Amino acid sequence: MRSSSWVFNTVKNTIILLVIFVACCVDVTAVELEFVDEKGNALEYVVVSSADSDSLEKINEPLVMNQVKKQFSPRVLPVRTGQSVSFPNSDNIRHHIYSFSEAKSFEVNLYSNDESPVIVFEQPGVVVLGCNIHDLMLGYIYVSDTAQFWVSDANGRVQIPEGVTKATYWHPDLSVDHSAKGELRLENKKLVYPKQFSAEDGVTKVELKIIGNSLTPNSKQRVFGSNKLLRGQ
Amino acid sequence: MKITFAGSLFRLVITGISLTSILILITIWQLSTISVNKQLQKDLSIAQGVFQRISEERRSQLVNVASILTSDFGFKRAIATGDLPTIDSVLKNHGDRINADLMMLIDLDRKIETTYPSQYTELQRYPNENLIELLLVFDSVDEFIVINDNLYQVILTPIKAPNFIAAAGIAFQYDQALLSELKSIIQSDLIISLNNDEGEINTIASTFPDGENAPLILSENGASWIDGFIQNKKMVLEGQITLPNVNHPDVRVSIAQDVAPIYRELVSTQLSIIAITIIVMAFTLFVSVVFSKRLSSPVSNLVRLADRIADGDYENKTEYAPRFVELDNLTSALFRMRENVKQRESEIQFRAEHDMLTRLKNRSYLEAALDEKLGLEEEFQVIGISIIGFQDVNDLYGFSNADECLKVVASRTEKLSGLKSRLSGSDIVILTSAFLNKAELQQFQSDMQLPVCVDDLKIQVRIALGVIDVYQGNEYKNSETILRKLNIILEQARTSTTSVSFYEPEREQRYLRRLAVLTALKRTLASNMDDLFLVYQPKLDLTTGKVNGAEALIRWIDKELGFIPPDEFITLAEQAGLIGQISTWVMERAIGDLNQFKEKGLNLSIAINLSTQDIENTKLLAYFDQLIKVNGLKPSEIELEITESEIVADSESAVFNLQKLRKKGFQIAIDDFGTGYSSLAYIKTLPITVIKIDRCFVKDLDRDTDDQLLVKNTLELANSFGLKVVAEGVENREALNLLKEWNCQFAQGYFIEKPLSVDDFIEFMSNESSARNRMHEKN
Repeated sequence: MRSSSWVFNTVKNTIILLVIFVACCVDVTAVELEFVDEKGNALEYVVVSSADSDSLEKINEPLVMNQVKKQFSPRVLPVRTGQSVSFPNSDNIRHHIYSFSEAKSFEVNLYSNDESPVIVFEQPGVVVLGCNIHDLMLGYIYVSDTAQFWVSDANGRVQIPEGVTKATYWHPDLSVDHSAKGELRLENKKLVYPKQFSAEDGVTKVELKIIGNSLTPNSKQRVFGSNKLLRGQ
Repeated sequence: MKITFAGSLFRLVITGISLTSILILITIWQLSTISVNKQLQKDLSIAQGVFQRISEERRSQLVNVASILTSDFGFKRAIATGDLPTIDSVLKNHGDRINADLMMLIDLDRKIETTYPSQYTELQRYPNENLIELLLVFDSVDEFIVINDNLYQVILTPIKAPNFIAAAGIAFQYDQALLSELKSIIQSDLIISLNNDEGEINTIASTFPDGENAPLILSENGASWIDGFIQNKKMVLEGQITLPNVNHPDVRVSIAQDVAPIYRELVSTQLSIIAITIIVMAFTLFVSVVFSKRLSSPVSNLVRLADRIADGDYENKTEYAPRFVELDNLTSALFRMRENVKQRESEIQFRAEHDMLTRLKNRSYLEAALDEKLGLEEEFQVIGISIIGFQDVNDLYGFSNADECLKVVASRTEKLSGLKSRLSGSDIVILTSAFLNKAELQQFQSDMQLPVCVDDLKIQVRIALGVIDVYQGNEYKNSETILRKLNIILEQARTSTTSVSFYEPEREQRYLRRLAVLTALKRTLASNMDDLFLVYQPKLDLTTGKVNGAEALIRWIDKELGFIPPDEFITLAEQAGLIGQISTWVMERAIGDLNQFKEKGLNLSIAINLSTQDIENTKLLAYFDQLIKVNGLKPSEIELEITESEIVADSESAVFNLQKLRKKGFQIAIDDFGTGYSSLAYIKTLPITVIKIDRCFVKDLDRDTDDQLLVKNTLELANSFGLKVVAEGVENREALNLLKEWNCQFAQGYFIEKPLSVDDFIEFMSNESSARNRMHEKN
């Protein structure tokens, strides 16, 4: 008991030192947000976009939405309106990617890794990417007019530079049709909206409501009819 | 209350069987009910399991079908592009292919966009509010929903293009046909019902036929199986199935198990038990009847045997061999008892019939046998045997030796055939049909009289025999008379010379006469002796020719028997020991009369007859002495007469008493001289003063020369001894003259005067002078 608690404390102190070190290395002017769902799990692929940024440079080079191991990579790719995106196939099997989304409906029939089709997204909106062969392949291209995007990492963290006071966040699971967005407001490096947040070690946690989370697999468990009879009990 | 063994056995067994049967019935009933319920539960549980398994399989099949539908790219595209005609056609195509009852397309707001068949388009929203969220998580949702009062199993799958854009639903109605199909698998009836808004239960679908053939659903508060049994209806027991994911609160799915066969089986089992019980009871009745008969027949045999024993029948030789050991023991015991009783009874019988000393029959048996023979008018001889002087044998040799002697004598009767019995003492009676004659009897007697050897003693016995011949026509009424007569003749035999005495009727008459006289005498002596009186016979002094004395003679005229001669009753009185009383009376009366005579101036001496018993009776003599003194008389005035035959056999004491009397001055006379065997010389040794010659020598004195010689010699002898002589029985003058001639001093007799009463005697004495004159005249 005593020894395990000693080990635990040692590990804890080490982590704290590490975090402090990381915080010192990043841009001191940035605001760091951590997106979590209602259960406290880190939310990856939260796209934070803001018009406040001056950077309006256009990326002419197509961005890459790769297909690796029967998955889109990255899963979520935010792009500015009019941005071209290439869809290379890193697998040695063919894929048949398509989208029926309003922002961009397209279909690329079975292609192999030597091809890399490029598609330009002219309309803002969410383009859901799928593969007709592999149902589990699901990717999102977030087309937005805004200049800058930040995407939360695997820890759900995203750094928003100083000067951004207003931003929009989006995540595919915020609504069933993926259209739902949220607004972020920052003042003096602090998140003022939405209010349900908490700060710890300079990281502001933002809790998002994710669809499908309200239903747990437990509640969906099949309950067979009672074996009890009307009579005899 | 007494009951038979069979009844008791039967009752016991029947009670036992009834109780057992009832308990078995109750137990089986309860066990059966429990087992039926358990079986039903089990069946229902199995049915439910099967049902759920089937529905599960159905589900997975349907899910496959649905996933095929929703993964169709064209279908996805049509939905994504809102190409409704295409969608409808796809739904129709798939629906027809899998024979679905309802195909649905539901958007993300649960709005039902299109259905096939199209009549369900009126549906607005899919009832499950959580449908979209469920489909976000799960690949498919299957559930039961109610549409238009019909139950459907619905498989819902999300349509992903590639994101979740809509849901497709494939529904199958649980209608009659499906239920029938299920029933064929689970072997149970199915009922689907719905609670409507009014709370009524509407059956949506069931495998039961409608109407009268509808089975009775058993429930706790409703119909019982008995109703169903009586109505001969199909009976079911319901068990509710909880369907997975029923999206309707009022749907009930029940599995019903037909229980009629079970209850019928139960009832038939119970009936079998009752039937078996009745059969067993009947069998038991039979067995107990047989068994009890097996028991009661030997028992009643034994009862009969016991009754026979009770009745004294010991000779029944029937063999009883009951198969039960106890009864066998009882039988043996009864036989033993019978033997013992028989033996004891024969012993008692022997004792009752026999004299235990001599082992001869006893008196009562003899009496019965005699009576029987008399009743049968048999002819036989009665021989009475008596040991003469058996009392002496007793005294001499002791009782035990006497008894032994008697036993030997009794054993000697074996020589004679017939019934032998001992009466009492030494009296033995033989009844024989042999009719021994006199010689045979004497031979028998001498055989009997052989000396008896007892304990080195040789006892000489003398046997008296009394014989009565009983012939037909004899008037022997009964045993008592015969035995009485036998007693008489035995008595006679004892005293007779031959000691053998035959019954003769005259003897009995004498005996009876004796008995009557003795009885009368006793009666007279007990009363005032009025019947007795004295008469006086004058005694003539031949020397003076004057009557100077009288002999007092007793007379008895009994009221019943009349005159009884003194010889008869005096002898009896002597034998009966009554003579003392009579003598006392005679003395008193004679002295009284003597005084009376003296008053009349008569100077007389009175002669009184005394018995030898009186002479030995000192008390009497003392009284007599006193009487004389009291009356102022002189002993010389009294002459005491004693019979010669008696004085001969007399003892010394008598002689001594006589001598005392003589010394006192009494005259002592020998009466009836000449009848005994004593000689005058012997008599002279006695204190005798007078001899009275018996009248048998005197009454014919005038004719009989023998008598003349005898009397003359006697007178001479007496005179020479100095004894005075009185001649009795003088009946004529010739005799008187002869006596006077031979110097006889006194004479008595009818010629002088017969015995006279006191008054007559006084009168006679007053006429004495004339009498004397007459005598002189005669002279």
